[in-house]
Amino acid sequence: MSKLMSGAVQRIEALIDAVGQVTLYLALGMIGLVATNVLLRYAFSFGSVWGQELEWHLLAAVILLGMSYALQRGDNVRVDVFYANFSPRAKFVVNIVSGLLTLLIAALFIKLSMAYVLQSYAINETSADPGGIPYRWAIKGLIPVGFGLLFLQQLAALVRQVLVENERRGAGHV
Amino acid sequence: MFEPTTYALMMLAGFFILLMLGVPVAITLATVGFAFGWLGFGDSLFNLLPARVYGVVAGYQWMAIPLFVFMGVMLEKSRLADDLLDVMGHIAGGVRGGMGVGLILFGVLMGATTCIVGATIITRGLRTLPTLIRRGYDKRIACGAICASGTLGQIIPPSLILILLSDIMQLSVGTLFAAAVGPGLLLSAVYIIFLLVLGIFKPHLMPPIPQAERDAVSRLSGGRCST
Repeated sequence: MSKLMSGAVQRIEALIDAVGQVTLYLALGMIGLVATNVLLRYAFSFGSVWGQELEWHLLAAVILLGMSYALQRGDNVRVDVFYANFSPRAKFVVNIVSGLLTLLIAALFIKLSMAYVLQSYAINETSADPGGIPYRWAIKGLIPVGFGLLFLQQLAALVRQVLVENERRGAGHV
Repeated sequence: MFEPTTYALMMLAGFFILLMLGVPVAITLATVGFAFGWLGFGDSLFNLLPARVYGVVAGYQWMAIPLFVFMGVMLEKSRLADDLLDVMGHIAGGVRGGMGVGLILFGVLMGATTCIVGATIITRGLRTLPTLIRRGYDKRIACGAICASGTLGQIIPPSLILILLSDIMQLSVGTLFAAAVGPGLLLSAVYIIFLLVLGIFKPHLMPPIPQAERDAVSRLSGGRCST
C-alpha cells in the first residue's frame, strides 16, 4: 500500500517539477519579450497591443503555474520563532494542519473560479483593447489549473510527510 | 452573532496565533480571510474572489519583480558586483573606516540597480567579512556595516517594496520613487557620517587599508589603462 502511495507521490512530484521547468522558461521568455517591446517602442517607435498583452499573460502564467513548484521547493515563508524549537512531532502536526488547510483553500479557489471561467468562455470574452489577445478565457482558465496543481502538490506533500513520519516512528520503536 | 469590530479583532488574534505556530504565511492569510469573511459576511462575499485573483495576476506593475530579480542575478553571475565592491573598498581605503564606507556606497549602488531586498547584497557583503576582520576591523562594525548596506535596497528607488506599496496606497510608482530619494540618500549619508566619525574617535576599530596594498591595485589598473 505504501509502495503504491509513494509511487503516486513521485509521479505527482515529477509532474509539478516538469510544470516548474516550463514556467522557468516562461519567465525568461517574458523578460525577453518586455526587453524587445521596450526596444521596439523607444528605438523604432513600433508598439503592438498584442505584444504588451502577452507580457502580462505570461506573467499570470508564471505566477499561477509557479505556485505549486514553489510549494514543492519549500519556498513558503513561515515565521519560525517558535517552530524552530518544536519537537519533530509538533512540527509534524503543524505541517499536517497547514497541509490540510492548503488543500481546503485550493479546493475553494477551484470551486469559486470555475463559474467565473465558464462565464468568460460562454460569452467568448476577448481583450477589451483593439488588437489585443482574443482568448481572455484562456488566461482566466489558468486560475483553476494553477490551484489544481497546488492541490495535487500539497496532497503529495501530505502523503510524503505521513510516510516519513511513520518511518521515523518505526525506527524509534526498534 | 458578533459586531464586525469583534470579528476584526478575533481575526487579528487568529492570524498571529497561526503565524506564530509556524503555519506558512500565505496559508495563514487565506485561512483567516476565508474563515472570518464567511462568519462576517456569508457566502456571497466570495463570488468576487476570482475577479480579485485575476486582477492581481494580471497586474502590470508586478512585472517589475521578475525583471528586477533577473537584473540582480545577472549582476551576481557576471561578478560585476564583486568587482564593484573591491573598487569601492580601495577608493575609500585610505581613510579610517573607508572599507565600511565603501560597503555602504556599494549598498546604495546595488540598491539602486537591483532593488532586491537585503539577501543578495548581504551575501555579497558577507564575502568581504573575512577580509574586513583580517584588516583589523571590529567584528561588530563589520557586521553592522554589511547588514545596514543590505537594507538600503529597500528604500533607495527603484525599490520593490515601493512598487508593492504603490498598489496598496493607490499612489503612482513615480511619486513614491521621487519621495524616497531624499530619505534613502539621507539614511546612507547618516551611515557614512557615523562610520567616519567613529573612525576619528575610535581609530582602532577600523584601520585603513595598508598603503602597500592600495599601491598594488593602482599600479595594476594603471597598467591596464596604458595597454
